[in-house]
Amino acid sequence: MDATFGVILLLISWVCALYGLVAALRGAKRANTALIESARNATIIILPLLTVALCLLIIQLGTGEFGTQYVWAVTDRSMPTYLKITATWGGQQGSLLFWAWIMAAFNAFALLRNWQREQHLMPYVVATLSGTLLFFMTLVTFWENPFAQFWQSPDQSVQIATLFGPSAVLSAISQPITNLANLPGAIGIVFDGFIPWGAPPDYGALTPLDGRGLNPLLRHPGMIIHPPMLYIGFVGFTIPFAFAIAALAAGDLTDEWIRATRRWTLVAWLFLSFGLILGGWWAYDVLGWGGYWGWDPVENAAFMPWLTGTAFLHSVMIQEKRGMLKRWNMVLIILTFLQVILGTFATRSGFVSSVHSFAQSAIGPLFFIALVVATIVSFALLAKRWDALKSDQQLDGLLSRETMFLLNNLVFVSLNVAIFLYTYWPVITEVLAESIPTVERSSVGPEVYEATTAPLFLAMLFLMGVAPLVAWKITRWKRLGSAMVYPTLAAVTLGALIYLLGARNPWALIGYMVCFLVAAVTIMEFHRGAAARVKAHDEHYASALWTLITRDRRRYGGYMIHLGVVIIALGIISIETYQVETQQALRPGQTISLNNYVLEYEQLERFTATDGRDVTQAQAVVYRNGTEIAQITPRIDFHPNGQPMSIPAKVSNLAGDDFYVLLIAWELVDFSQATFKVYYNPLINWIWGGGAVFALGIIIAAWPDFAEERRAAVQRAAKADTAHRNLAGAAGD
Amino acid sequence: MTKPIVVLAGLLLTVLALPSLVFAQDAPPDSMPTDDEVNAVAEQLYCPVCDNVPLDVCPTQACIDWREEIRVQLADGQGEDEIITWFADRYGQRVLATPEAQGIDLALYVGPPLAMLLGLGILLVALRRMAPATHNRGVGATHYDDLDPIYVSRLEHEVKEFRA
Repeated sequence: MDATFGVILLLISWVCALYGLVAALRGAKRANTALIESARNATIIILPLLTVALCLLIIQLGTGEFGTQYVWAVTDRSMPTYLKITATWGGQQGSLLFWAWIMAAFNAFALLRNWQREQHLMPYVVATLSGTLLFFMTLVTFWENPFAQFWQSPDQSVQIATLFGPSAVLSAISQPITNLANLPGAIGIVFDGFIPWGAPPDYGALTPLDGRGLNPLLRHPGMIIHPPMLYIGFVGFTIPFAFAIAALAAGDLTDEWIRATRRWTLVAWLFLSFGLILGGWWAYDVLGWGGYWGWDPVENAAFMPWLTGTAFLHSVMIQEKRGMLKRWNMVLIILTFLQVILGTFATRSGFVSSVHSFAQSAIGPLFFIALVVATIVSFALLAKRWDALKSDQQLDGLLSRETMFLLNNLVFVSLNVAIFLYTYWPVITEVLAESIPTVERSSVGPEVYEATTAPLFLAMLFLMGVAPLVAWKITRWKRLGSAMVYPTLAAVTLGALIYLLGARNPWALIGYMVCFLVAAVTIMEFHRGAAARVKAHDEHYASALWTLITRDRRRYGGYMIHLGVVIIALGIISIETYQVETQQALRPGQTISLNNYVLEYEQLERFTATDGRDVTQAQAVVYRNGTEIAQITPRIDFHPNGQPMSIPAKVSNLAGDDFYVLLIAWELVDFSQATFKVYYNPLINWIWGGGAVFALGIIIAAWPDFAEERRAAVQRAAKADTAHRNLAGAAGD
Repeated sequence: MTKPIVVLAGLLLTVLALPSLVFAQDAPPDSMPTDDEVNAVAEQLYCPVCDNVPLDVCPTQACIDWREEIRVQLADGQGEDEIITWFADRYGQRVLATPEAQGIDLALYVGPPLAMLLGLGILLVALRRMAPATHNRGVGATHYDDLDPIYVSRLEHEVKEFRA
């Protein structure tokens, strides 16, 4: 199909987003309902438009239309179909279109779902959503257009242009290719005679014979699912942000905006969390360094909005229950949104690698402007309503659930501040070094991150253990103390057991005991609720537990999330404190011993895979306690268009430990020797298992209560009817 | 004629001996540092080519060369700190995974704890402001010690509403 059709769809979508923004603001100013509805419709219609555009791109990727620059950049003829489809988000332009499509979907569904209920907020919600989408549509349409095509001029130079129109437009939106060597198949140039829209007749479309292919690192299942999860998480936070901005702009400072967006926030948080866990799995499985989290700026960029988003999810409960922290909740959701934009900007512009790559990036300055505008508008509105956002209630006691959540917020924000500083420190020092001769650009490695964040994570876990035992409004210390007795005993007993089993690292022991405390408190909360139901309703225990969870999904879903965090934390503590590794060169028949595992090297082989990879693969046998348990084949893949990739081989045990083997190097001439790096990763699989429990908890917490929604709809209808009658009565009088 | 034959034989012997020569390079004698000793130093340094990749796990040729440099220096009897300082002097502070706590990099170690303390201070002030006026004056607490705090809270709220 024709790429120009895609460009036209993007242009129409861009116009709709612009119209949505302007019409919504004008409609709000003039209280013109028709204009506001028109703005809403313009915002909603972007979804089908972008759906067609996205399908068009997928078709182009699937059918190998290499005349489209993006298709050439991320696919080649040898790639399987599923990878061609997932290549949609394998590069800058496609992922931005995919991002815009997700945002259009969120916008459309949020507007349709909340239109009747929060009509007074809607003009500003539409304006914020349209404005945000307009920014991304501007990038996709004018700067990073996935439908840009190759064109060849009479002097044989090749250009990439979106619309081959007047020369002024061409120069504004195109970029010349200076290095034709990067264009495989350039020799096989074909002219299809397609000259749209008044282009100079001597320019012709150019279709390379084959594409460059997808980055080998992105061919892993984790990386196929990970980006969409992160995008949905990122984009999802736009909805609560839009409602918060609308509440500020409309002056409706009740907690209506929070109630309207609670589920949207949970959905965003679910996907962002899932995306982070999948990213860890991908790093562990593909990057070949034995770890799951390297404090890489790209990882951190996704983690920082998660931190403020998590703090927000906790502190909104205080506003809902007590009418407090209205200002703080606004600050948190604004920070979350700004960090989404900042993270996207930092990673896509290359800003985190070097400040200079930002300047060289076409979209970097645009992101920077958007960030500044969003910051100024958000905080200006917040300042305007600052006094009106005063709390309705006062704190009843220092020892209360409210205080626990505030401490939780302090921990999350402190983590955010530290990670922010460390992530951007290389850029900060690089900028300073240009004006201060004594300053040099610095790097910040995992050790620095871990030294700062480990105590904060421990504090976070401890609060998770204590907070459920502290009541809203006020709790007596004595009462808390007695509630803590059994969980503390359980934690200390299990800690002692672990000590006897051989764990001697004091920090690990403290971490384990805090985890056990949280687990004991959480399980006790489930048990107490179920036991009360058994007593009151004479139910079977399992049935009581089920009813308990389904009746109060938010609370027990939250506890399930806590259990997931505990499982993840046990995995992280174990691998961080007890991971061991060794690297050795072996000749056939020689072995490496690590803990109770032995790796025996057999032989090395080289072959070319069907997709063109040159593979060097070692064959080895793994023994545990003297018994052969697996034949493994760690390997290194040499992709024609990428860096070598070390693919590890893993053997797991029932406890969730991994024996993780990497092929590092080999003797070049006769393969008589190979070097292996071997890791023993205790409880690493608990991280993935905990992630599944965590996700289940969020699904439970976010699952809609249809009966409750029906009741609320009936109440709203009755209220509207009464208001209508009163109005009619007043008019009759 | 003799000379070319000698050269040819020499070349042939060299080619035949190549595997063992390569092997001799790859398998260091006992006195040579092990890979684990090299990696223990390398993990404290950053790759000179790729951003944010520790030297011990980076597969690029530049990093392979750096690791060999570490091996040579270890074999020469240099200590870990000396080698790290050598790299930092030669290539700049950016190669250090853990920057020294001096100069501007001191902010990395002082900044987050200070921010945390500042946050704690703000939180305490906020808690004090959010607390009822009686608590602020330190009077109510002693008065109501024997009463149920929830009851006291509700009473205070109702009195406040009544006054309003």
